Amino acid sequence: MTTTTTSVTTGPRTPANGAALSICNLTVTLPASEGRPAVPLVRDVSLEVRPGECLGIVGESGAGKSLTCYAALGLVQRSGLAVEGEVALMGRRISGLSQRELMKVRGDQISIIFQEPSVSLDPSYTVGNQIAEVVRWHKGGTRRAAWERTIECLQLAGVPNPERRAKEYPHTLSGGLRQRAMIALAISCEPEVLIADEATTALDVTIQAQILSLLRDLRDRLGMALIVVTHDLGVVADSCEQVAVMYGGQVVESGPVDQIFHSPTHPYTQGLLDSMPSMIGRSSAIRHIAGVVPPADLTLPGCRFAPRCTHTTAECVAAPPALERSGPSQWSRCVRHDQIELRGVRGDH
Amino acid sequence: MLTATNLRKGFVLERDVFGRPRQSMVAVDGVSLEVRPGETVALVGESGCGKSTTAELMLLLQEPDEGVIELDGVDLTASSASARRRSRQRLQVVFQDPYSSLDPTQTIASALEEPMRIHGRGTSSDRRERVRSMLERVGLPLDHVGLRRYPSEFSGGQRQRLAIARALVLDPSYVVLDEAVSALDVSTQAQVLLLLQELQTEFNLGYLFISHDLGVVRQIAKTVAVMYLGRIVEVGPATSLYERPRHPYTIGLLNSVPASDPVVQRAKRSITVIGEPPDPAKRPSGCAFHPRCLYAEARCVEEDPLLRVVEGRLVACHFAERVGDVEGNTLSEAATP
Repeated sequence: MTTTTTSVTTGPRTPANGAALSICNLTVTLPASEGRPAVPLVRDVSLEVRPGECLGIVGESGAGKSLTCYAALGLVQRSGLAVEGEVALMGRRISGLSQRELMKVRGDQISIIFQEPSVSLDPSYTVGNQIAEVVRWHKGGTRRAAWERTIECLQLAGVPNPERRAKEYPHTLSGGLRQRAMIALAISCEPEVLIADEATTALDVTIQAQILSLLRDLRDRLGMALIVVTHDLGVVADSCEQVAVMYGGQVVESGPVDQIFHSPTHPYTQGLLDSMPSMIGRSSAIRHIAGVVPPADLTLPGCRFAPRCTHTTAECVAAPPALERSGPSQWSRCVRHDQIELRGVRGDH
Repeated sequence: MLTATNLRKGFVLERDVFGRPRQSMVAVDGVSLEVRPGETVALVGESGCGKSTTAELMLLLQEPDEGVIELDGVDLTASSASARRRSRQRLQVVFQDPYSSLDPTQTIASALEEPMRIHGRGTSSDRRERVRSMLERVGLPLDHVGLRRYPSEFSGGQRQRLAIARALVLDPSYVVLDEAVSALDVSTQAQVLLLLQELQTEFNLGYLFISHDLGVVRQIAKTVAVMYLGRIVEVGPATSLYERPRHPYTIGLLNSVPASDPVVQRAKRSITVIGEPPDPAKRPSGCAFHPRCLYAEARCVEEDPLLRVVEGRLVACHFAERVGDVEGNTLSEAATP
């Protein structure tokens, strides 16, 4: 077992001291307009990640996992979404900051890597120029110093021949190298928190394994907190100590990764575990979650997973379930978590 | 049976001012495959290894430089254009990205009827009926209103079901699934895999399943062919290949698939494939995998290994007998905590 059982990822409470990033009761809503009622996209999400720790946020498309991160970084206000809740970075509240102040925080203390590096990198500037620009913008200093830092970061990110690569344009790099360049950019100001938003999804499995190992290595070396947003539980199994499973804009289960994988307490987590390719390979029949994620604007009186769940009873559809403690430092948003029998993945490869 | 024998396909990358090739690469180099009805052959490898080119050759979408493609004993590479056209009805394809494989300006009804229109099958109402029953079969029943909708109104998983339905309306014998589930969420991926498996049993379909992920094809494949830089480096029955991979690249690919148990995964994650695939235009000497191989020796740099029989499988590695036996390298060993 890991030694991280003392750290509780979520739970309805106030920001704890010592967290690198804490998100408290975050709600993101698409405001009502033209006869359409307001649509809640992220519902009361609380998460926290400590320095040197890796938190996985996992769920299907539309679960609100990326939106939670973007909202925490103040990246969604401009698109007209209403954001409520508290976000604190190293104990400092950043949820009320102006965009101007947030710009100083983003890229410096908190960075994000996106799925598609070819979209995130500007095709008209060399890789090195883009990194050096960020370094100078945040840290000042001479061009030469910024360039040296750029080479250093590319080297840290495992880019071979960093001096040469820095002078090349993003399109000349392979997908794996581009993602490494993105990582170099993200760590250039030694952030406290690094968010990897489906950063390995578009890559080959071999390159994914390399990038994940790089992220772990950098986390250890720079002592940053890492948040891995993914739909793939395999990535979580690989890299994270803590995990939050999101569904329909809510955290439905959270806790230490070994506990969640060995003894899940929410049927949705079980379904995701069953859907993992390596599990599919082992079981004699492909197990899966039937149905699709309900649209965000659909109002359900009870549990949002109930329509797809095989354990649903009248109790489940009566009232929305709360996030309850379901084990040592494990939380589940299932009213029947202590009645149902769920299998974990112990020993499975 | 759909067979490919010794397929070879090269591309010219650069020509000089006289139009003569200056730089060229071999995308597919001596690939042989055999797809039987009701069975799945998985073709696995990283981006750029030539697996999609192989698929295009087998679908007659590209002309091979060398080699023969046979459909039930008939050589398609030597057939007339009209004979090929008829054969194509029996060979269908589902592509990776359901967002770009469906025309955004075409209604669902029109997109799914098109293959039948092109091949002059049935009357207009027959075709509509066929589309409706096929959509029901793939788990996406649509009424006449639904049929007039456009692809943009459907989710990724639904679009992939549409693409599958479109591939099946002509009642093909063989379907090429080119990374058909790679772009989907894991849960949707499992749903679509299950559907593909059911359809295979029901219609006795032969699948050529192309993927970069050995984990995804594990359940569905009977035979697995691992491809590296244009060549097949290991091919054999799925069960034994997964249990005792014999090519260092297969071992690396298997280890790159994350285990579902975090404890097991932490133990095995260190053993994977290093580096990136080399530029196909600059094929390394000897065994093309040697720069990334953990077992490479002097011989590997000089001598190109040929496919040879090892434990009822074909493996292209000089040291195939011993690579799988190194401690901590097979999945079964890594699984024991």
